[in-house]
Amino acid sequence: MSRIALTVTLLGLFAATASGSELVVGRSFPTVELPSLADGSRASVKDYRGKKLMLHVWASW
Amino acid sequence: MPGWHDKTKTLQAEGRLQMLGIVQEQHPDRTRLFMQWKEMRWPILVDSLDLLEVDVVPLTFLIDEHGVIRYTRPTDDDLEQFLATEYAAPADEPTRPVLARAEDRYLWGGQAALDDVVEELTGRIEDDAGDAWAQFRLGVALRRRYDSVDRRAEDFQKAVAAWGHALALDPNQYIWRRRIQQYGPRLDKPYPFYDWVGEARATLEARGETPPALVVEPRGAEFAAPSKEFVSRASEIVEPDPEGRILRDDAPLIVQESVVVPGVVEPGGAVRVHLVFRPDLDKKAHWNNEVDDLIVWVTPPPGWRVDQAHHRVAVPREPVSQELRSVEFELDSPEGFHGSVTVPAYALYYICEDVDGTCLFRRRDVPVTLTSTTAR
Repeated sequence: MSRIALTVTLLGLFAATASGSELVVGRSFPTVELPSLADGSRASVKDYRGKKLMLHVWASW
Repeated sequence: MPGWHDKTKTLQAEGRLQMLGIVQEQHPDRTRLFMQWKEMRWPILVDSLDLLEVDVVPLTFLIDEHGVIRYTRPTDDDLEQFLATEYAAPADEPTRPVLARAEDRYLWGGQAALDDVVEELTGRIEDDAGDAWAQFRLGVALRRRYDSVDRRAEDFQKAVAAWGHALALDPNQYIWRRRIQQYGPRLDKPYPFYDWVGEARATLEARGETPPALVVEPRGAEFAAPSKEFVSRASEIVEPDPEGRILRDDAPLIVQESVVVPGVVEPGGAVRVHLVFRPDLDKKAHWNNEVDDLIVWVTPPPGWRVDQAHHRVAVPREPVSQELRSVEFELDSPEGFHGSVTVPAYALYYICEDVDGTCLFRRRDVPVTLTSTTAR
């Protein structure tokens, strides 16, 4: 396998890796950028570095 | 979340704890109404595609100053310990995940990107029918397009089908299951979902605040309370047009769509049928509100039950209007259901068109075809 093909494969694997399984104690919370509900701007858990964070993954129902 | 919010108000005010939320909802703006109602003023990130791949909510995490998860589902003691501890920085910085094109476009491409997103996810499913995430996300994108001006009539039904395919591949994914339940029959629902919206608005108005407008108004299934058994309410009203003598809306002046949730029927199980009627704006059609309401009549086939055969959509006060009118009903299938069945149903309505200025009373047959899971 060429290096490019390997890189593409690895990228694909990374994109497809289950983040749910990464949400465990001792691991960094994923830093994926998501739209902020307030104004749609790019936001990430990473924006809160330096703070003690209580993060709720929830729904209003 | 309101529980934790109340318990941590002082910590938040003192700057010792930052609250943050992530929601996977299809209509995340409803969270804005909820939070204003509960006076929860902290930021929310929107993850409708569930890029975090959580399979259930709610989940609470305590994340340290370096971004490392220190507690999941914390207790009060855990929180105390967490706040008292100074954590060391991890050796490696996490890599930012690389999003596939469809996901990236969904998040940042706006409304205009939805056609591309749908096409790309459809392509991924064609390449790998077992890609359950592509199925779920295709459903999310289709439903979002259905709620937009670029809607295709079949988008909602296709979304329900995609969610059904995803769930068949992983029945333990409760984020996916909730999408179907949100629009599905009472028998399958864990809770009403958005029955709090009316109370939230009333409370905000009583406080002198303006409730935020919702992108899509919840209705029908999104309010309906769960039920442990199928209830069929006997109608005291006789069928309005049993012989089919009312002239049909052949033009038609009304655009009609039907969606069945879930998309296929478990033998012995129930489905919720969503009927939508809207005047065809290209034909300059509008409702004539000076005569009577829109009526829907459903005739369940032998062995089937309907929760309510007769439905009435009250007309607004203005003499003419062009709003969407919707009727939802549930059907309960016989245990031995296999193959497909067509459920007769029709609507009666008063409609006018402005080209020739004629007003008509018309019937629209809206038969609903249902297919069993065993027929797949």
